[in-house]
Amino acid sequence: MAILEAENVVMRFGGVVALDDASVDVDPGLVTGLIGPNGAGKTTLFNVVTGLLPPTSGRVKFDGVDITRAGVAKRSQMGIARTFQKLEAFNTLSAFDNVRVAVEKNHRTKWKHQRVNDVAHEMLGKVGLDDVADVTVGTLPTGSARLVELARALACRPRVLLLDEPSSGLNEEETSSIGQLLLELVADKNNDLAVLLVEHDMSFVMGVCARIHVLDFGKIIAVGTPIEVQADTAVRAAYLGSDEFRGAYVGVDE
Amino acid sequence: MILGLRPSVVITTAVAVVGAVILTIFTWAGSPVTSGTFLVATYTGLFLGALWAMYATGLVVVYTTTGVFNFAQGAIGVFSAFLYWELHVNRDWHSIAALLVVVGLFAPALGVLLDIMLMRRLRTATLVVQLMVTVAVMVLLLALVGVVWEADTARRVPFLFGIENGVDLGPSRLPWHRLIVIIVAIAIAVSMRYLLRRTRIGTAMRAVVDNRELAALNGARPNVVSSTSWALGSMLGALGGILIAPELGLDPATLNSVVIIAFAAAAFGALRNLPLAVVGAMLLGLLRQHSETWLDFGPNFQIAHRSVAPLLLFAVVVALPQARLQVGRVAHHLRRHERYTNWWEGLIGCGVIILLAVMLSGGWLNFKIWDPAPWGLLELNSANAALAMALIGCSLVPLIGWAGQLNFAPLAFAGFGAFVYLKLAGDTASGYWIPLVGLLCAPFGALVALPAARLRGLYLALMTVALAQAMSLIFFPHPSVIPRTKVGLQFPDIELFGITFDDRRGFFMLLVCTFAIFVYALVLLRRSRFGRRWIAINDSQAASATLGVPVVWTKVVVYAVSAAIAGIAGVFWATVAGNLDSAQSFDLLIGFEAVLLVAAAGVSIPLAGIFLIFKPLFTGLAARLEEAGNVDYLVTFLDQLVIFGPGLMAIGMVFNPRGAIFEMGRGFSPILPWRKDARAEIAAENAQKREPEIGELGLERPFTPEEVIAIDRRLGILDEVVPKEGYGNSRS
Amino acid sequence: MKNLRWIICLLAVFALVAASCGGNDDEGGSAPAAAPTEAPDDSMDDDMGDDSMGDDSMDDDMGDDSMGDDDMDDDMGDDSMGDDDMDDMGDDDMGETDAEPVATEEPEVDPCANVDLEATDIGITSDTITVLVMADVGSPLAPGLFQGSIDGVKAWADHVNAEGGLACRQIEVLEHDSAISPTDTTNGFLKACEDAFVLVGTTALFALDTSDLQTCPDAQGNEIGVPDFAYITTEPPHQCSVVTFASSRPNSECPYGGSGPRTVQSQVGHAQWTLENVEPNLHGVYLVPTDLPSTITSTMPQVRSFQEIGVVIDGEPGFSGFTTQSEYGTYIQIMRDNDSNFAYSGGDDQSMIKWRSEAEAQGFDSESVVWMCQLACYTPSFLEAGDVVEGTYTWIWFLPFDEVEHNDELADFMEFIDNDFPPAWAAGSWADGVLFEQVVNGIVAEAGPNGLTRQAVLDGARGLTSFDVNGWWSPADYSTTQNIMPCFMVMQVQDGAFARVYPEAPGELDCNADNVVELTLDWSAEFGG
Repeated sequence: MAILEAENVVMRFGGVVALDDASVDVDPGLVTGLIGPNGAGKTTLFNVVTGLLPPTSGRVKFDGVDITRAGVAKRSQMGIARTFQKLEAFNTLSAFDNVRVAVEKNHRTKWKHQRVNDVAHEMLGKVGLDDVADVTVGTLPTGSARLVELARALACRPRVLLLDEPSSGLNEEETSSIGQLLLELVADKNNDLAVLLVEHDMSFVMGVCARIHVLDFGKIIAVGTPIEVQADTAVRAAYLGSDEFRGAYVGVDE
Repeated sequence: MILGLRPSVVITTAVAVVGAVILTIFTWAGSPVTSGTFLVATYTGLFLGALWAMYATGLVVVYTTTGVFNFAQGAIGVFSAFLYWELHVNRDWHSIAALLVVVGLFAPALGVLLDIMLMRRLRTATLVVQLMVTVAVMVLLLALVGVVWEADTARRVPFLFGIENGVDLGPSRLPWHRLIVIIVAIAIAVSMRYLLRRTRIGTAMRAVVDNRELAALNGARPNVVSSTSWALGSMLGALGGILIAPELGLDPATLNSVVIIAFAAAAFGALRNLPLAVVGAMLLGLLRQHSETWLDFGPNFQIAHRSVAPLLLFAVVVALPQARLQVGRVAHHLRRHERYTNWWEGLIGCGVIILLAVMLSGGWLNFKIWDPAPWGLLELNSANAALAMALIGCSLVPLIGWAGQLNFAPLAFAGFGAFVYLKLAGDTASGYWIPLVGLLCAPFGALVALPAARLRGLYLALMTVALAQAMSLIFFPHPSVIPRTKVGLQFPDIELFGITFDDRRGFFMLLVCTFAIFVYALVLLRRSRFGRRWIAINDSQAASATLGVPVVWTKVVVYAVSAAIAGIAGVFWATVAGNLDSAQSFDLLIGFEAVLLVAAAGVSIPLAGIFLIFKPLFTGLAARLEEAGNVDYLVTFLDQLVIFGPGLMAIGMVFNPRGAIFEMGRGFSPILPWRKDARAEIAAENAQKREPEIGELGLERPFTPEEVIAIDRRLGILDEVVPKEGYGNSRS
Repeated sequence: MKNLRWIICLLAVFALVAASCGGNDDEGGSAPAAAPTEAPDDSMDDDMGDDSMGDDSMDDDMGDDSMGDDDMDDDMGDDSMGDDDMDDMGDDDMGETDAEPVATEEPEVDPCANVDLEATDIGITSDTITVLVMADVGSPLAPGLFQGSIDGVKAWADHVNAEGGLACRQIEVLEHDSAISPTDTTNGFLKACEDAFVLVGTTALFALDTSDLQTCPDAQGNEIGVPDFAYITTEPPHQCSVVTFASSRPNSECPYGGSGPRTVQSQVGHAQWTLENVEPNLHGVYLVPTDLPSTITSTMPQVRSFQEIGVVIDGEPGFSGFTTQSEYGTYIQIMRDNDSNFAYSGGDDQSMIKWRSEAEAQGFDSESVVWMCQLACYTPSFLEAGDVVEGTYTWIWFLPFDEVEHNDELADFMEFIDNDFPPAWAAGSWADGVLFEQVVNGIVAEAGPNGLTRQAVLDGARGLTSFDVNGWWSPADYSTTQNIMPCFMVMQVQDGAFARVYPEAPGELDCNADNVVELTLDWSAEFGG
């Protein structure tokens, strides 16, 4: 059963329809992809799922429970964590403190200071940021700041992790190590983790995702495995002429 | 849903109406209801509403088009009114000529100047910096008015249009001047609405604030647009000032206070809706006139009807829907390494503070300007008053400095603390009550923050302005709050640990130690999970919420902590004076100035409160110099510094948002032997300076992906040109 | 946000009104005498001899001084107070004192000759006396507010020094800016305690804590306080200070516990005169300033005393500095509804201008109405309002500035102040100077120029049962904290200038004992708006 379901979500801003009857479901133990051209509504869907935006209509279910009306923090406590496309790191705080804020809020037991620090270091270690733990995030390169967000999200011990373009700002090597990390995380049954990934880097998406939803003009136009999606004519039409046109075909060709 | 209104609006309106009816029944003055009285109250209310609407229109226009809420709107009006007086009355210009010069030339020039010099740079600044700078402009303009046009004589501005004739309405008469003002105010609001909604420049103006880059790509020139807005806003302020001056008399503080009513009116229109803002202003005028005419709040609440504006603001804040957590407003900072002050560094620092205080007051430091002598009662008295203010300043550090929530009413919180202490301790003056004062002030702070914490920070800032005003209008003047006529001291000397601090030297040491303890407590608080969490909600509320931090609750807690600190400080503050006086102590401008100074000091730093000794320090220094050697130019300089210093320093935040103490610390910390990190940071910065500019590199070889990112970051556009939801459906 | 400047003017006005409304406890005989205030009176008498003795000695000094006895003779012996009025006062203390024939012994010896001048107390050297003038001037919001007070004291010092000095010494004036702030005001008291002999011309509105003033040690270390010859005392702690002698006398009972009824005196001479000579059926609106509780408490006695003598109050609406002119339309409407013929403002000149302008704007028939306000309207800026204020009555308790030929003290003041229409506080602080001068001269006559100590000044001032600024002001009794300013004169704005209407003869004040009414009021319960 899907751990996270967005059912028939409609999101209107004035006259603009950002999401038009979009339904997405995410299964545990898998990385699910969400792709689409710029402005297709991917980030809007993330915002609806995490509670930053109340949908005009439609429902969001987590683990079978309707959470459409639940607050952002509440959803986080239930196990939904995310990163942001446009960075939302705590720029004034160090990388270490960014993670500590999450650890302190999401590990219920009254841990000692030292225990919090240990967990925070562990999370930073996972994303490979040990050596910049003391650096203010505002001064880190974009890619590293994204990794801080990832570490911070992981520190929430999520059951669903929503990643909004984690690879942008990273070089190829870093991107592939992130992909590796994601696959490891979802594969570990102890984590009981599902990942929903928004990404422009098609090779990355095709490499890690088990299922892919394709969003265009707020509508889901295709769902399936990477192979199925790449073969879909509607998807090809949607990407035609866009920035990702070439990227999409590079992905297919590979 | 009724009439398509949100339930919160309907409920609040219903509660307000029912409350008003009950209030009316209980406070009915019993004066005869005649058509004349009713008419006078009605059109006077409409006229006042029209004047306030003019200010509110200016506020809304500037806010919708530049995103900056202009606290200086009233001060622009004050300055313009004085300038108009100078030209028209003092220099005998024709009124039309003077009006054209002030509203048509001076005001737009001032607006454009402000935009180019300051406001344009505030686009990406935090709310704290934005508001601080406009408040600083306000304080500076008022100070300038005070210096140019001294208060040694009363001035009057004649009515712009004739007031001798008018429309006869039954037993009373509506003079042409007022009718014209009402019409003009509505016409201005309508034409501004038309300008913003229906014209090309208006569309560009609104587009620029929503998405500057996108608007620029579509051909709007953001700088031209923002200058136009500021010119317009400034003209409206000037016109409002000139029209209201004949009604109130030319007095800077009185004229400036009008703007607070305009804040409430603008908030009624949710800061962006012009027609609603005008309706709000009219409603305020009618409510105030009619309540003044028909209601009697008893001898102890004589001026309560003037608190209509704060109350309306409060109702609006309650009725507004919860704000969405905004994404994409993360501030950028310069500092490379985050470093906590160690607990032992904090201790040493506090020791140094105490030592310095002892040495200074003992006359052991020789500055070679005058003979050092132990401080007399005079110096100690000034120092005590200054230190008490510095204690109040400490309350702003967690609130403004870390959580990024504004509070313009620290003195209202302090006064509340003093009030609580007075009720608790009575005449015993035992210092052991002081912690309890803190505990009781905390829920008060929470209560104030609760309605506005759901909203954007600006509403909280406005709420505190309303709080300060409402407290000084309703709460503090009440005789049972502070028995003002009592002869002698209301606040006797504090007794603590068996010692009565009855002489000024002893009290000075008590204050110094208390200040050191406050600073040290702040250092520890900053190191705690609370400090981290507060900074987190300041940096990104959206991200904090997605990590499970309850944003609203966290804001309420930080207000409570701040109120507790301010309340405790208030006990010392009141004890220094021996009295609390409602007129003097709760003047909003004094609160504004205190907040400005702390902000300019670098409000995120625990020591920032010390800047509140600024004024007494330089006043005292000037007096000392005058006595010692008559260094005239220096004395004059210091006097002017006291008047203009806070404003100028706060304006410096445009260029250095982290404040003076932070910069001093950067210079000073590498000297400390154990601060390797500080030396490394300086070295790294120097190395960075030697690196060639990105632009030069691009000429010789293609950009690497990292450089593209660096360019994007510097341009503030990062990876996408479309950062905002809702406008993102078109493909770029 | 408070309108400081406005409140300040208002407070000043109130202090002045309070002063003029002030009454002596033993005056009029209606109220039981306040025992605590009597006590120092007696002891003073012991020190100084009886009242008339004090007067005599003063005259001696004046004669000794280079100021010349002519001044004195004119002032004291001549009719500047109005002989008729003096007779009316007949049997009260003050009347006696004033009416007493002045002894004019020609001095033979110069007290300064053959004396080794000493530094007898703090602020005194062998050749100077340092006085401190403290006034609210430096507030950024209202710079220059009470600059007039400082100018007044400086003018007085210049005058005294030009005439040969005081107690064989020159006067040096120290300035302190109390900046409309309680802390700076306390600092002023501390500074005076350390550096000056006495305070002269104090015009500070926030004298909330006078403990430093009253317990300041003298050169011997006795905590007797600094003599404070203040102009206004707005706060009860200042009003009830035992070392403060305000030339505008406080009108309220001291000590006062802070709540409950308090005995006050009120000057109603001008209203009485209006009833008798202008409009026998006086009824109308009294505007009560409501910015602060203290502005209400200082106004209500006058409203109630008006009612006591038969003025009908149709309405007593509250107003403030924030009240726009258009809002005065409401008060006009009350007058319309009641067909009022009386309009009295308890506020400043600007409030009266707004009120009258609005009446004109409303097409209200101002002709049949007696518009009246107090000293606050006696300003050049009131006249600048032009035709609209024509006909307004105002009353004061000293001879107006244009009557220089009728009083030499006034002539000196106008010569040295260098201002055609000085603010009232300049006159008040000059009066403080003269008060101090008179006390010092008394001491010099008795104990010589080296007898000058703070204690002697305090004793001297406390023994002063009648002082009238050499005939320029209404006489007042300084031996009690609560006392009387019985005199008044009424002016009316005619052709853009203040014209004397009563008493008709220039140089005269009406000092009838009936001018003062005594009331007991509980302030907080009085005003209903």
